[in-house]
Amino acid sequence: MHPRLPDAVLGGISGVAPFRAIARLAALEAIRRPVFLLVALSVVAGIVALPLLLNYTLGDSARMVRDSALALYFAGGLLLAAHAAGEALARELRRGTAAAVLAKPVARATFFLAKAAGVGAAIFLYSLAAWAATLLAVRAGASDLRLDWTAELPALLAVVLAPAVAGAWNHRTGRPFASAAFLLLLAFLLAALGAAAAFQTPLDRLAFPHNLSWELLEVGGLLFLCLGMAVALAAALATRLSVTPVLLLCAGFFLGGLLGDFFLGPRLADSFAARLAYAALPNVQAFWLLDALDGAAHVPADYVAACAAYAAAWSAAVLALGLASFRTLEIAG
Amino acid sequence: MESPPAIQATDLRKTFRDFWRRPRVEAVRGISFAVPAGQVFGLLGPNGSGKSTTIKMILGLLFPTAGRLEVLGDAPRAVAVKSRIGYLPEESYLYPHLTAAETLAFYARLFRLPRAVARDRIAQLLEMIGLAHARNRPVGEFSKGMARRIGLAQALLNDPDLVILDEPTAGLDPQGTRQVKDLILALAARGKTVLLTSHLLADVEDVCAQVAILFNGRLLAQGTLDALLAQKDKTTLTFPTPADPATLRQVLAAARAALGAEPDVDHPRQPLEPFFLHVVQTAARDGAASGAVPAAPLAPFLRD
Repeated sequence: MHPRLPDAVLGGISGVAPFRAIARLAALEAIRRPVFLLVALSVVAGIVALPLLLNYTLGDSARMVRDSALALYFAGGLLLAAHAAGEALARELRRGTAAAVLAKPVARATFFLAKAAGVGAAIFLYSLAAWAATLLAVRAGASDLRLDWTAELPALLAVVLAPAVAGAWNHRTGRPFASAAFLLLLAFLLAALGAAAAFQTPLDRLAFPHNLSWELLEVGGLLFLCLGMAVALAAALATRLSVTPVLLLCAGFFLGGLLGDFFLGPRLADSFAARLAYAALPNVQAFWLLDALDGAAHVPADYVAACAAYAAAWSAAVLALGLASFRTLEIAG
Repeated sequence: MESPPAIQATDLRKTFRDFWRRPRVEAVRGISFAVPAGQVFGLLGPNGSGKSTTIKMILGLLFPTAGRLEVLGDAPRAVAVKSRIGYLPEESYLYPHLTAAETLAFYARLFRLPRAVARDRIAQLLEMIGLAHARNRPVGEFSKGMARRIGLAQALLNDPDLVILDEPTAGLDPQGTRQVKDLILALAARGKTVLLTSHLLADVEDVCAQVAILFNGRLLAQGTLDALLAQKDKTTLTFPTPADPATLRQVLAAARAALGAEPDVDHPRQPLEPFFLHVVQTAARDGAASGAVPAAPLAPFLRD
């Protein structure tokens, strides 16, 4: 017989296999929800349509496409992060699937953290799709005078073909449509990006030296870190609240984080409450670097590392609070 | 030496509170019972009597407000003890997009079963519950009875020492019900402890050695079925119907004279369940099957 371990130990650790199984299922469940596909497809379609809408705004179209695309990516990601994390915990607690899983040898910490990790993985896939669409859109709209169809056409085809092919596959096999359409969208966008990266843009001959704006790699990465913080916050809130309040509170927190410098900055020196609120709110401004980007300059690696450390620490603190809440939660569903 | 009970509850209480921590519902009010190891124990009671709350406390999903609860010699919240428990919830809480095989594979990973063992057990269980042909269909498309069977299979994946079945026959057809009852008896014969709740008292009577009856959070009666149901002041005598009615009249006269009371005379009726199963099985043998796939006997890993 193995020596008895204190419940604090057994209650906190239940192995890698259950963690992976729950995280994988959480990611799958997230991308199988129709709302996930709807938001992801809308965001990507919106980003891809930007060069068509904003072209010929002389002098500023490239910047407008880039800024609008990243804003769409972030707003859609925030909505998805909050919604998916809320669904993964709040709805499962209400539906009873959480009770069925926690009746197995699965520690509550494992369940909670695996759910957050799974949703984080789904948001990563979304970020990858939105980032690929952004790169393609930025390249397609790099010139004020003409569109680069070598980037625009494959991106548009990806948006149209993904649901069409997934629909045909669903009709043939009966397997879930939403996840197939989303994964095909991601695959088509990455293929389009690969193709675009392989070919020189015709605009190069017109002295617009844009192929792909790889400096957006770090910018997109920073936004993904910010969305990761949103997943952590939503997961923590979903231990006690249903999906709608989780969405509203997440939006409030991140709006507060965006405006924190403006409202709290002047009061930081003489107000403890302001300092506390400033520390608690996610510092979204630090992750939104578009205003600071100049031309094709890359974000310095040490800045990205500092932001990653901040996001990890903030997320860990929020997840710890969520875990404390979840460990004492009575699961009646 | 007598083995310790699988479940021991002492003065167990559960009060649900509202947002302001004020007592809202007293669901369980100081109940004490012991579920002996290796027996089938029925927890009975009308809706709202505290059965499900008690089961959720046994599973560590709800926390007792007061009292003491031990499950397989450990605290209900200990993660290790849950690897020895199989649980079939009242509703079959399943992930609708997963297929039958994926659902069982997911639960097998939660039990950390080696891949080869999991594969074997999943195949055996799908055969046992008669859903091998539907292994690749999403469970969201299943009927209630099929979902119930998948729920039962996931409860047995880990070959548990303690099986907790909340309304195990709800939603099943008579054949499925009989199979579940046979399964419960087979598990008990292998020394497993089974705790079940059911509104179907005939089913409980068929399989349970002991029952406890809850009402409004209190334990009203508890004991073996024989002790609770036997009418010691009456005796039933069964014998073949005599060909000559005069023989029966003589027997009755003798009984009347010896006992000084009028005996009841009746033809015993067989229960409806075996009669129904006989009719359906005969029809199925004659090729008039309704399309339902008959389930196989107990999965081999549960027999060994």
